Amino acid sequence: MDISKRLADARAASNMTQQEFADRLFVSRELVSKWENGLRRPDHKTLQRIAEVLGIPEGSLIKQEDIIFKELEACIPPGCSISRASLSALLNNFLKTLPKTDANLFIRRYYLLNSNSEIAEFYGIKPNIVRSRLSKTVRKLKKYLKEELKDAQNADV
Amino acid sequence: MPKTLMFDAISDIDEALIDTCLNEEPGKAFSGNKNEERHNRPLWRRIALACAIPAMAALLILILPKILDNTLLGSDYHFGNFSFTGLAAEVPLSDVYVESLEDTDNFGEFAQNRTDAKYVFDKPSKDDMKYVGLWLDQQSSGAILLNKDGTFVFYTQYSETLLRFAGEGYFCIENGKIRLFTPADGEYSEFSIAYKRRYIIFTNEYNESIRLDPVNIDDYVFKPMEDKTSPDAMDFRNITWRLADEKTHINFWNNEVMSISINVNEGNVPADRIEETFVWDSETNTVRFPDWHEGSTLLLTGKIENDQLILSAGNTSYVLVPYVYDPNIYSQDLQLGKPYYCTCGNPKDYRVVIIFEEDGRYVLTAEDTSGNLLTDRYYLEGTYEYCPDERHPYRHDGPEVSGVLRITPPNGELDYMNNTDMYLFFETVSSSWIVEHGAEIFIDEEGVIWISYQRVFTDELIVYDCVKLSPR
Repeated sequence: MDISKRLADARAASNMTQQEFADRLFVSRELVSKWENGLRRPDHKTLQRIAEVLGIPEGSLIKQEDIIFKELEACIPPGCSISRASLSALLNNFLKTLPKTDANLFIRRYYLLNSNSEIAEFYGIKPNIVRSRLSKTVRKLKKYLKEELKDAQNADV
Repeated sequence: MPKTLMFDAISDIDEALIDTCLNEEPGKAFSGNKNEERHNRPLWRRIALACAIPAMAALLILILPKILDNTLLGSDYHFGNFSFTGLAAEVPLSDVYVESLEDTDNFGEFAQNRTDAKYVFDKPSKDDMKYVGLWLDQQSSGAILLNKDGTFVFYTQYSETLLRFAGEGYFCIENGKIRLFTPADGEYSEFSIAYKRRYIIFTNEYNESIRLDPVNIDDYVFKPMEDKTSPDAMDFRNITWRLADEKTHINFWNNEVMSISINVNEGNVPADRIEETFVWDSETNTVRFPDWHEGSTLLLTGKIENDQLILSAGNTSYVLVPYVYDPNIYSQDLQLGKPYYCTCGNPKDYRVVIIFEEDGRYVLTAEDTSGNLLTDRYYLEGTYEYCPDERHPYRHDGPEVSGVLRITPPNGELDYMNNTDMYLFFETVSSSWIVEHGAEIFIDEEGVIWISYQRVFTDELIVYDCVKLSPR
């Protein structure tokens, strides 16, 4: 189950409508709808607020993602301190340099949090091809960030 | 580093990118067909890959006789020039125009749904003769020579003035598109081609372009990596060297790649020393270990003396003698029902265990150092086929192969990999790696299963990784 479904289930279990839920979070109902349909994804801070509003442990929403993102965290050069905005900008730049298929694979996996099986099924390819392509992209990202942040090691960006 | 930083950064991915992704039609970007999947590779990578194995094989064929003839260190060591009779005179492209592309790594994404039958490789028309000549992409160090007879030769740029043969094929230009066919793997690729000023631009279907600059052929020395007819050519597939007083082996893998690996079969050498890869630089007559001791580079000089291979670094020398194959050594059969494991993690705090059952099924699990099962993390099951007498096609003459183990992919899949070791392992047990990339599985005298396979880290470098599964 991905984050969107868990979120939708948790909201439904709390007997809140999307509008009520959105009001509590100070976001639009449309955004909640997008979250629950997997079209957009809340960031970590918002997830914390969601967990608070729903009265559930934060880990129940991002358990899997925590694990998934460990491998991406490793892309950030060790000892490098970088702000979210800087990293976001670099990530967006990186994605724009990728072939469209690889960028989409990355987004499906890490933004939409599809499983490899789901991605493979969507494209009609074998899961190991998804894994292989993603792995190459992650390696590229690591190399890209290392290059971009080499002057920022041990310094704030 | 807060562990949520990347998570949040990914939350900030541009909406336009996400919408593009969401608007994809199912099954459109990939076909799932192996051939079409290959078309997704960038041009140079695809051509280089198609040509790398035979080209590197040829390089080994050329290098090793020189090694064995004790001529590698000689200052008069030459490969000899590749012959391009008349081309330089016929195509005087003397204006060298150089401008690096910002990013050619992403060039690629080839048109899909090709049908071979529709491509006919006629000789280029008269109008297309303007494309004939040598074209160089400075950024990716790839070069392509379009000949007037409709053939092309692909090179990798080895140095400022040296191009090395990396493959060949046929091309034709029609309706503003160039089609390339590499018989080595039967692949086609197609680009729109534009001739602007002195350079040509290849553009793929995703509007990604690469600019190729004309080069004066005279400026370059062409060195072939393939000369199968050479009387000096010899088969190195059986050549294994061993360190004289230790169990360190250097294998010249398959006679297909110029990378060489060292097997440390036992002793107190850490496991990550196994299958160290190094690259022989014939220009400087050195061996480079790219990842030696966590990132530093080790340079060794190699020479042959008295039938010994001597690798030297400063005052340290490694003397290796030819390894004599003893077929009795590699006679272990697969032990059914007995766990094999590889240690994983960083730090290495858990093991992946695989058991080949007698009924043809295997079960793969993970356990911590205390032997506690980590079923919540990794679990795979599938089927295998072990053919102890069958030689793997990729190593049919190699001494290490005692049989072929074919592992069928599991029904399920792993959603994520936590570290490189796991990645390596699961990539290995995936049958497509074995089939498509020629993983080799063999069992040594200790009963250890070795799974080695090639991985491509960059466009240029092919190296070997190895997973070692020890019996308990």
